[in-house]
Amino acid sequence: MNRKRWVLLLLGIAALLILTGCGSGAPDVDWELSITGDVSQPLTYSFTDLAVMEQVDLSGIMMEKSTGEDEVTSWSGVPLEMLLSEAGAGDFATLTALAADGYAIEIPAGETSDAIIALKDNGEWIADVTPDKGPIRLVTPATPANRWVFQVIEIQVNK
Amino acid sequence: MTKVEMKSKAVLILFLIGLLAASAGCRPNWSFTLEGLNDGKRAVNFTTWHANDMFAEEGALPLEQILYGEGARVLDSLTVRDEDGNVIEYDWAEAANFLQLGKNGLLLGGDHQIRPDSILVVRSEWESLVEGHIYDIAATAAGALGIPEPSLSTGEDLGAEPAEAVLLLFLDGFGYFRYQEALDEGLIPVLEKLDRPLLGITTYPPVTAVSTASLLTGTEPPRHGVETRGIRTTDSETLFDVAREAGLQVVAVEGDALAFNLRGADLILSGDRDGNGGTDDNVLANTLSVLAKGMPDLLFVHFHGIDDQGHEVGPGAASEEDKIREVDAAVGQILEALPARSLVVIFADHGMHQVNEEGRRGNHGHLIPRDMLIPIWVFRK
Repeated sequence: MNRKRWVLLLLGIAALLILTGCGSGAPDVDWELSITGDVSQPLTYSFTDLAVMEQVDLSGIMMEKSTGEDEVTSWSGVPLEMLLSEAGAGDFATLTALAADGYAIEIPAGETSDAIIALKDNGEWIADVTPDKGPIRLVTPATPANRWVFQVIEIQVNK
Repeated sequence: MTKVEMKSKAVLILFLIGLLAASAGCRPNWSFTLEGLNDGKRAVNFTTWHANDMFAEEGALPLEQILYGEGARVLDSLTVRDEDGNVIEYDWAEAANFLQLGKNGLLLGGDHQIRPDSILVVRSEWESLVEGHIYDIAATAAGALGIPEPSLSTGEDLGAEPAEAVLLLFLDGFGYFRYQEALDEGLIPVLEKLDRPLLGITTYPPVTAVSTASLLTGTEPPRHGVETRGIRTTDSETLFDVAREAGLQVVAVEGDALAFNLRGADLILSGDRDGNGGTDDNVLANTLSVLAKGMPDLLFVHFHGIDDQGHEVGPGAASEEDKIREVDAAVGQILEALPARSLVVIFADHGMHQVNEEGRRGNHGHLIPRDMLIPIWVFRK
């Protein structure tokens, strides 16, 4: 096999790994997040979809807790703005985040800046280290941590 | 028996004695007497401590957790006698904040520690005046609607007659003491016109998630399993489950976030869409919208503002008083829009006491009258 073929083969394998989520080292998790409400195209992302998307880091942000000491933490995940944009959300008044266990919260647009759908907590997959608080969590740095909805399954956009 | 057999037997006996001694040493051997509660003198020991160890942090748990389990509800003071006969008296309103019981049986008071021989609990005279519990509300609503109580309910019907619909109006953080003060200060003209509320009591710890679980399941925390902050759901059957099972329409109008999951209800969140920094106006608007479309069989409405302001600026501060006025007026609008023959239950989940902490001037969560006592209005429109 000549060098060109080897390169193509390796690239193919790499692409396959990335497409299956293996390239990200993501755990195998059965989870979906839907973007619904006032959007032009409601979308649903699997955990793997999210794991292979562009990730951003929120480093050294204050986790303001309702009990106990506040904590400086770092989270990584997909920018919420990107998901909203893909679903065709324009300006909105609030977002409603729904969790798998029935928990729900409505957040004003002004408090969603820099928000991410976090997959990692301090560099570790949430699904691995705190599965009861995951596998994904809405992290909104502008609000206290009790508004960071874990086990989030749906984000509704409200005009 | 040969020498070898005797030697083996001796080794075995010594080993068993050692094992017994080691296991006895693993279990702290301490005890003190608790006096002044329902059943006279009670022994508190490591077994008692161990039964509550899920509430412990760094080897100590709040003394009030033990006291609640032993039947204490609202207290005035404690008299602690140590093993040498020394006596220390504590004002419970202060001591509830810091007294902890260590795994080793030491009573930890922040800057001091005591090996208690006995603790005499002086119950508040308020306790004997209590007329209702937060966990009575499920039985009351179920009775009015003609549906079964939730399966774990231990509450009593507070005297409701059959009604076509039930409104549960939840004034977060508006404890009985704050109600009385607001009444004296003329802050609540709508609530003032109603008959005097029952002197009610919530469950321990007096925090919203735990109180809401008690409200909806009709029982106390050890039975419904929501015993601390941070638990947002219960597997136990709730009033909403029962109502939904009976084919009734259940609607819950909440603030911008659930303090506790409201399974079985059609949920309407009320985010701060107008950006005025509060959600009570949004809760009111959503509630009036629901009523305009037709009163559901069971309507649950939760105002959060008094609690939010109480935490931020403390009970009695100007903006907290403004919030009480606002919520009182909102109650008036809701009652006006409510159809006749509805049962109305207005209640708080806990009270609020002043603190001087960074970023916070009010808090709750202790076994003190100001946190535990709540008003409960039950009437027919």
